[in-house]
Amino acid sequence: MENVIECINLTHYYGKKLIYKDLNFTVEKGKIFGILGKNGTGKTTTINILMGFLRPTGGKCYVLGEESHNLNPQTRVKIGLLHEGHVCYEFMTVAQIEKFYSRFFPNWRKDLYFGLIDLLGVTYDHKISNMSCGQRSQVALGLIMAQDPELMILDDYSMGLDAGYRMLFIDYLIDYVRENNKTVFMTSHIIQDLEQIIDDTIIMGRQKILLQMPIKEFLGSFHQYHFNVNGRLPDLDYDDTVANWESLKNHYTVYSFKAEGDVKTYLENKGVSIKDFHETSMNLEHAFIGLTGKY
Amino acid sequence: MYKAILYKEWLKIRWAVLGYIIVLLGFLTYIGLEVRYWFGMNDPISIWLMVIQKKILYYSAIKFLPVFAGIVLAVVQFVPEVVKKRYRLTFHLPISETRSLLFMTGICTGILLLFSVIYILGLTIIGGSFFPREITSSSLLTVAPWLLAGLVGYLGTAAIVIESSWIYRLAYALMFTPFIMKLFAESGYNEFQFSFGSYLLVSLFYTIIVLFPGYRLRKGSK
Repeated sequence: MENVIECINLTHYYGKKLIYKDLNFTVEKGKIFGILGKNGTGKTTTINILMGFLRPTGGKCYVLGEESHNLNPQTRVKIGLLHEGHVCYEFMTVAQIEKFYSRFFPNWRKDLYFGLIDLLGVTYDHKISNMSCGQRSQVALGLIMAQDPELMILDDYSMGLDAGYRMLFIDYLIDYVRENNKTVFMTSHIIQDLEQIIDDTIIMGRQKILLQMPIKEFLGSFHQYHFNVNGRLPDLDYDDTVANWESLKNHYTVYSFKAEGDVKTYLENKGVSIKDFHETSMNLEHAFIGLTGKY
Repeated sequence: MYKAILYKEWLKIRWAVLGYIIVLLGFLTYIGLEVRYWFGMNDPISIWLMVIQKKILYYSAIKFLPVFAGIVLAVVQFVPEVVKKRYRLTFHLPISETRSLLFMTGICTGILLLFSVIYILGLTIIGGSFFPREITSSSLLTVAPWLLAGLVGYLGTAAIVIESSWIYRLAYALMFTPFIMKLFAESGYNEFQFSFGSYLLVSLFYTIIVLFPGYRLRKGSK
C-alpha cells in the first residue's frame, strides 16, 4: 500500500522543551487518518510540520514523497489544507474567493464549491467576514474540495461549529472522500465525531505515541473493566495488562487490551479480592480517555 | 497565477489607493491655489526672495504624503495576511514564497511609482504654470528623496508587519527609521542632487530585507 505521509523519527523541541521524540507513523493512500491527543501532546505541532510551516528539530516527514517543510509548489497543488478556525481570505466575497483560487488549481471543480455554498442560502456577493463560523467552515471545505487534492490535512475542523454544522461538514467530507478516494489527515477536539469518520488513528501521549492502529481494531481490542474491592487496592502498575486504571472509593476501573479472564487472573494474582467484575462497552471518546487518562 | 495574486492584492488595497489619489489631488489643488494666491497678493520680487533666498518650498505641504502612503499601503496589504495567520494560505499556494512575496511587494511598489508619477506631474503642472523651468526642475529633484522615503517606508512597514518577533520588529524599525529621517533632512532645494543615486542604491538593499520575515514565517518562527 502506498504511503501518502511517512514520518520517521520525528522529534521536536520548543526551546528546551521536548514535545516528542522519535515519532514514527505512516498514512496510507485512501485512508482517513485521525490524530488524537490531549492538549499539549503535539497534535498541532505535527500538523504544522506536515503543513510545512514548521521544520522539525529532528527526523524526517515526507508528504507525497517530499520533505514536508520543503514542498515543491506543484506538490502543494495536491494538498488541501484546512487551517484551525477555518481561516480564509475574509476580505473577499464568496464569488471573489472562488475566482482567486480557481486560477491556481488545474482540476478546479467549481460545481462542488458552489454546490456547498448554495446550501447556505447566501448570495455570491456575500462577504466572508460577515458569515458565521459555521458558514465559513463550509466555504473553507468547499474550496478544498474544489481544489481536488490527493491529500487533505484538516486541523481541528470542528472548532467553533455547532452540532448541525459539524454534521453537515462530516457528511460532505465523508461523501467526497469516499467517492473520490482521497486521503485525509485530521484532528478534532470532538472525538465522538471522528469515530464515524476515521479509519486509522494515532493516539498521542506525553512525548510519544500511545498507539497507532485502525479505529475498529482499537475499539474491538481495548476494554474497560469495572469491579469493587474490599478495602483499598494497592496502586496498580502500568504494564502489558493494565493500560490505565482509576478508582473512586472502593470502585475500580481498569483499561486493558487483554481479555476479561486474563485481567481477572492478573488481579487475583496480586492477591486482590474482587467483586462484581464486569466489562462495559466504550465509544471512541471513552476509549480515548481510558487510554490517556482524565488528567 | 500572478493575475490571481494581483486580484487579491487589489481587493485589499483598492480603497487605500483610491483614497490616497483623492488626498494627493486635493493637496496638489491646494498648492496650486496657494501659489496663485501668492502671485495675486505679492509682487514677483517678493516671491523670488521667498523661493530662492529664503528657500521656502511652496510644495512642502506634500512632503510627508509619500511616506504616509507607503506606510498605509503596507498596513492594508499585510495586516490581513498576518491576522489569523492568513499568510499560511498565501504560502501554500503553488508558487514559491519568495516569488509571491516579491510579487506582492512589487505590486505596491508599482502603485507607489504611479503615485509618484501623479505627484511629479502635479508639481510640474503647478511649477510650469507659475515659475521658470529651473525652479520646476529643482522641485522635482527636491521631492525625489521624499518619494524614495515612501518606498522605503512601505518596505520597512511591510517587514515590521510580516515579522512575528518583537525583537526583530524593533531591529527593522531601527534599520529603516534613520534612513527615512535622513531623506527628509533637507533645508532647501536640490540638496540631494549629488547623493540621491547612493540613497537609491541603499534602498535596493531594503527591498531584499522584506523577504527575511517572510522566510522566517514560512519556516516556522511562529
